[in-house]
Amino acid sequence: MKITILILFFLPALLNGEWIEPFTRTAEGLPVPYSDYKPVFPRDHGSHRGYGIEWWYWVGHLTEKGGEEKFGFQSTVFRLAGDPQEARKPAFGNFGNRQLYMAHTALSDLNGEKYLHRDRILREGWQASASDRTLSLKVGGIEAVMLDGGTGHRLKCGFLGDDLLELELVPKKPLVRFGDNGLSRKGNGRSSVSWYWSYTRLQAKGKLRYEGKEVEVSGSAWMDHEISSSQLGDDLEGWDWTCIQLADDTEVKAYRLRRKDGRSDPWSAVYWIDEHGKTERVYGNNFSWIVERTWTSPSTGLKYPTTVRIEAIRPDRGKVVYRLSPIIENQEFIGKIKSNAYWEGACRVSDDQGRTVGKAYLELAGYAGDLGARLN
Amino acid sequence: MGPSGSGKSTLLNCICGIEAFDRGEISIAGKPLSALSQRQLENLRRNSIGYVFQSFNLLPTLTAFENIEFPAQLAGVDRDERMDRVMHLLESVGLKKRAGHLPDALSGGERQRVALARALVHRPVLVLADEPTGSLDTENGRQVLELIESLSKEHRTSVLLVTHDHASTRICDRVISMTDGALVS
Amino acid sequence: MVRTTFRHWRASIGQYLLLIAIVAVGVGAFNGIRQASRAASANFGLFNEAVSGRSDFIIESPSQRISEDTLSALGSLASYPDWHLVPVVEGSITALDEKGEPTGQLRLVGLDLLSLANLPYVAKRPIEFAEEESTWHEWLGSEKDVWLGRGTANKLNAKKGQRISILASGRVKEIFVRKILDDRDLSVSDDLVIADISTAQGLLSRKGEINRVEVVLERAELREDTEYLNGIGNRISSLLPEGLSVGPTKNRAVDRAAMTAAFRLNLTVLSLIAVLVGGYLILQALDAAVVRKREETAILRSLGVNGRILFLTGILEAVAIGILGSLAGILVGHFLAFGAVGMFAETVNALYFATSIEAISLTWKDCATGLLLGFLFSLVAGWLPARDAMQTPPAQILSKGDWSPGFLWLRNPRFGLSLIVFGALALLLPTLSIQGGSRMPIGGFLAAGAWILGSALLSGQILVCLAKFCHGFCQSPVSRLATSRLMDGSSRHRLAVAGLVVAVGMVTGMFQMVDSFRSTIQEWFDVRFQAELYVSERGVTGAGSVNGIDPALLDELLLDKSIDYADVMYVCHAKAAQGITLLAGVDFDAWTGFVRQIWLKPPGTIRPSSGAEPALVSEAFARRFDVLEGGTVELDTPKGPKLVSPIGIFSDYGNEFGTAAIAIDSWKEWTGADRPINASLYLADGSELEETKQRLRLSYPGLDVRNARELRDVALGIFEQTFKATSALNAIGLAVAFVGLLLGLFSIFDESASTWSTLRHLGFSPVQFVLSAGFEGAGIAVASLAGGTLSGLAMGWLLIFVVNVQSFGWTLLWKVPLADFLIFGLLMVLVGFLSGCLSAIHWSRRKT
Repeated sequence: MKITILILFFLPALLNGEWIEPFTRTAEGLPVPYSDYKPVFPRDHGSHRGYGIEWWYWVGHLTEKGGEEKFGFQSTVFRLAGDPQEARKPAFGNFGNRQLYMAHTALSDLNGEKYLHRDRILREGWQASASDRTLSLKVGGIEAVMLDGGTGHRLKCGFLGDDLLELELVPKKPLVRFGDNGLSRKGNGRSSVSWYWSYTRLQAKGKLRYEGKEVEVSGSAWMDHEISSSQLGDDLEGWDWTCIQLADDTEVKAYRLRRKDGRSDPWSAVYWIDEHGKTERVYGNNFSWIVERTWTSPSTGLKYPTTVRIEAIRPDRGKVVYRLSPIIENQEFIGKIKSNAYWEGACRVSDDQGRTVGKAYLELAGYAGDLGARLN
Repeated sequence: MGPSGSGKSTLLNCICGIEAFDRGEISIAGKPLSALSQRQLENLRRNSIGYVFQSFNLLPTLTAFENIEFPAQLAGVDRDERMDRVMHLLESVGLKKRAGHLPDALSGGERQRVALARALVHRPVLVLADEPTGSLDTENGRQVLELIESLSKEHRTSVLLVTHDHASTRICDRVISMTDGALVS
Repeated sequence: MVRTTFRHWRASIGQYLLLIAIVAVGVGAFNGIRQASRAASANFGLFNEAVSGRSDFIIESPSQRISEDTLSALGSLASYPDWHLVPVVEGSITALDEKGEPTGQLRLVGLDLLSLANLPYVAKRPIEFAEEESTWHEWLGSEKDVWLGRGTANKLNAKKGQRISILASGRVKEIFVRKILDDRDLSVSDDLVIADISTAQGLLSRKGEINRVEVVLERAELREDTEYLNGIGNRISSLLPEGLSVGPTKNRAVDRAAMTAAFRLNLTVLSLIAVLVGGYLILQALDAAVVRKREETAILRSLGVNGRILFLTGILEAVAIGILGSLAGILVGHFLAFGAVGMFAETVNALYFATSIEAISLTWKDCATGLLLGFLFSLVAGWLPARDAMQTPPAQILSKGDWSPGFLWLRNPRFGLSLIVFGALALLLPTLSIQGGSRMPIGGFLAAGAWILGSALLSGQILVCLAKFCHGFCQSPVSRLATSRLMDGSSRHRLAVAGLVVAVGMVTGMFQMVDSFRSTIQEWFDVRFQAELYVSERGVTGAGSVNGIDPALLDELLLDKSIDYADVMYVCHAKAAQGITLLAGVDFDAWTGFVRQIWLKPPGTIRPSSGAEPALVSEAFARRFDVLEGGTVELDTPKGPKLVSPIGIFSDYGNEFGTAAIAIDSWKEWTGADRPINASLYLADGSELEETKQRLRLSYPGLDVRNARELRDVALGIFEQTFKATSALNAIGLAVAFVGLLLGLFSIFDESASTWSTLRHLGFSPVQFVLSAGFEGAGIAVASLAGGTLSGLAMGWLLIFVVNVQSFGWTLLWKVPLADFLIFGLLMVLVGFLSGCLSAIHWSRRKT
């Protein structure tokens, strides 16, 4: 079933220099994001029901107020639209058949070296919903709404034993829209485009009820919201992706698409976001992603390259090196379907002299098997 | 007479048609047994033979009166005649007062006297008595022997008495000795 | 000693095998009923368990119905990862064959097929609702798609892709077999149809409505941790919208178990009777063996073997039979369970609640119970023969003539009389309340047992008196001999009579109950059903189905111009402190006016309590909640607790849980539901009954439209079906009693060997011997009939005036079926006579 694969389908869109005019509809009849779209907020923080795939993704690093405890968190809601031709029955309110939602939440206790995570698959209805007017998500333990002022989000993620992370996330930089003409391209296919919007630096403040104890936490977070209707090619085996928040108030987003032949896809890229939210990028042949150390999961036996060195030629500054190493090793997300396990965790970032220069979240997907084939 | 194992009881069983015999012939009242059917043998036993056992063999659930009456009923003697005969026999064996008792309530001598009456009630031509005194003390044995003698005379019935006891032969007209299934004298 | 004993086994292996088989059947009946009962009621109506696994809590409303709005409000509960919510809708549907005739009732279970994937149980063993490559829509199916387990598919002879017409909520619909699931748990049940929840709602015409939400804990490892469970229970409870309650799933099982407790107890008692009867047969047979071995035993005694050793050998023999028999019985029971489980589930469905069959399982407990049972009964059965053997005199004494042991207590009437007095005293005992509101008439059962046993013991006296009486009239030597033997009343004769008296008592008692039930119901029908036509959901019968009719459909039907008045009835379950009962919505004016009832107390004779809803209640309700003289009963409804107060009491034999009927408006308000169960139609003057019936039938193929006679036939049919098992048991009981009689007579003749030999010398013919034995058998049968009929009358009285009133809460008219008694009596005497003849023939053949 496709949903088992789409759990992993929050790969950032890829950008390339050449403009390819997209189709207006996919082969299945779903609308394709179009160029020069001017999003209107808060409406566009909400759901775009007609489009095939959409996700809201938050990650961040948190510190206990007045304490030593440090945490990382990941919280993702996916939405998959039903195929209008195949939904052959009327949609009843509580048990809809037009939209499917998935929720992935994880909490990394960085001092205690614990990793809590869980996932849910739910259809639209009494247990899962997303407003199409504003940010209002309620899916299997994740709740996200706009803050009263109109900017920023309130995010709630429940964990086992009534544990709860409740954060107010306020953007420190304007929203970044990736891509050319407002369209982020994922591949050569004419429909392989998305609207890809990110808050690359959010100030996080809130409380965490963890192991029965409630503490105040603060830190910084990253949020992606992407809307598309198309899917990836089947020569792909998986991807490595990271978002880095550097101490100098800039951010880096980098990913490599791993092909079955072991090479990186040319659509792989590195982005820099400056203090004002302006972006620069280089492509696959202008950076390298070097694996320094791997970690083998005791639960699944999968081997993840958790320590990596990214070397890139930044257009205005020349060669830069970011070394990502996990703060704790075991941040493997094992969902209900074991073959879709992936690694997604909090990392520290150092430069080539070994100095810590920032924090990151690293995602390592498709190590459990041939992901690309299953994406179709 | 003869010692135990000499074939006396078997002979009696052959005579009353219960056991079959291999050779020879037995005739009772002129009828050869080998020519008779089962039914005719039953009729023979019912009408022409009376039987006295060593251990009395009264029917335990019938009273002394009923025990005596039973063969007469089998022989189809009518009711009044039956009553007369039973009463007469009870008187002859001296048990008129014990008529209503069950065999359990009677002594050995009394039981054998009832058995004797039973063997005669249907007026058989032949009474077969298998060690009739064998289970009795001397005094009771003597009484029973005397009764056999007197009653057989009164009812003009032949008695074939089997015994291993010389003393019992005193009431007999003829004594035949047996050893190992053969007549020896 | 042991060697000589078991040498006898070798010599008559057939007989010992038969004995072992008897124990096997007895233990098998007990074990089989146990397992079948478990399999038929194990899921307690939670049919989704086969798909979603066992849940930990159930969220439900008192009416077993959660509306669309309430469910939306429940959505806040979904944000807690500690649990998974499994909404369930279920109902009965009926499959139709090509001719449109109902072929079988099915259980439609609607589940959210998509969110099932979250459940730990499903994650461990995923169910493939669609092929690997399909999209998630295909997983949910169309509005007709259903999935069948292998069992259901076989029953319906259905294949993947087949279209099947069904009846649901009074409408004819079509389902499409999407896939046949070969999962073992699903294959076990042969009536389960699975659909996506919205499909099921559509098929059942229950849009938006569900029955319950089950809660499955994420942390399966903590499901037995009471503290954790309590914590979770409290958390859920604090988050629930009004009108809903949460309770451990186990509680539901306990509730349901309690609802059927009386039914299951009855079956257990019946199966114990099978064991008891088996024990009786073993006693007879072992005793026969003792008699056969008498001479050998006597010689052993003469040689100085002491009685204790003889006794122990006897017991050892019985125990060996018991253990071998039980082991075989455990197997027999397991197979019997497969045969009985369907009948069982049908009865539970018809009388109590919806259930379906689960896998029949044989547990260690079953094995141990079976073994223990066989062991104990054979021990008890071996006791008397062993004592008998122990009392064998030395050969010298034995050779003097017939010898029979004296079971003196069998001749002593004091035991029998004490038992009868004890039974009468037991009647004073109060009923035992079981959790869930059932009541067990403990006193009634004790009295029944004591009286049957008492009369069995006293029956020896009857035999002797009767024989004495007849003896006086007997002239022929044969009859005189037979009566004299019966007059003597040996222990063995008494034992044979006692066994038959128990059987006859039970059978004639049951005769009366069944007959009383039948005539009461017939009379009830004559009074109660005076409308011209009756409309109900087609194809669905029994308490297990509370689907009801699609209200829109009934509204449409009631517009028919031939209908002058319709008495529409609404029914749902309601919970009171003492257990589940039924709450009905009726046209109150009509019910207190022209609608006829058999009134125990006519409306108005009881004054309702102020502040409570006036209600007409059934006798069962009034007795169960102790409101025969008025008062109030609090019922839990989706609108909170409500009080009802009876103003009249009517007779009702439909269910033992009781019914309270209130005005329709109040019913709809309290329950929030609007689905009628049935309607009684009174036709307008001048409309043709037959024509109207045919017209309605044609227009509404999903509804049953019957006239009063047809309805009566259907109801009586169900009634006869219910008592089928009873008749079968009666027959078995009698058969066993006669086998016992045969065995008993056999021993009697064995013991009378000396008598028979004497008789032969006296010219008694074989025919006379057989006839005499026949008279003896017939005499035993007559005495048993006399004793058994007396105890049977007492049984009938007990069943009708004590057991039924106490456990079901209804009064029946007591009918004694004289004709049945007479035929049964004649038959019995004839069989007794034949038994005697047969055993004599067999005996004399063996002896010559």
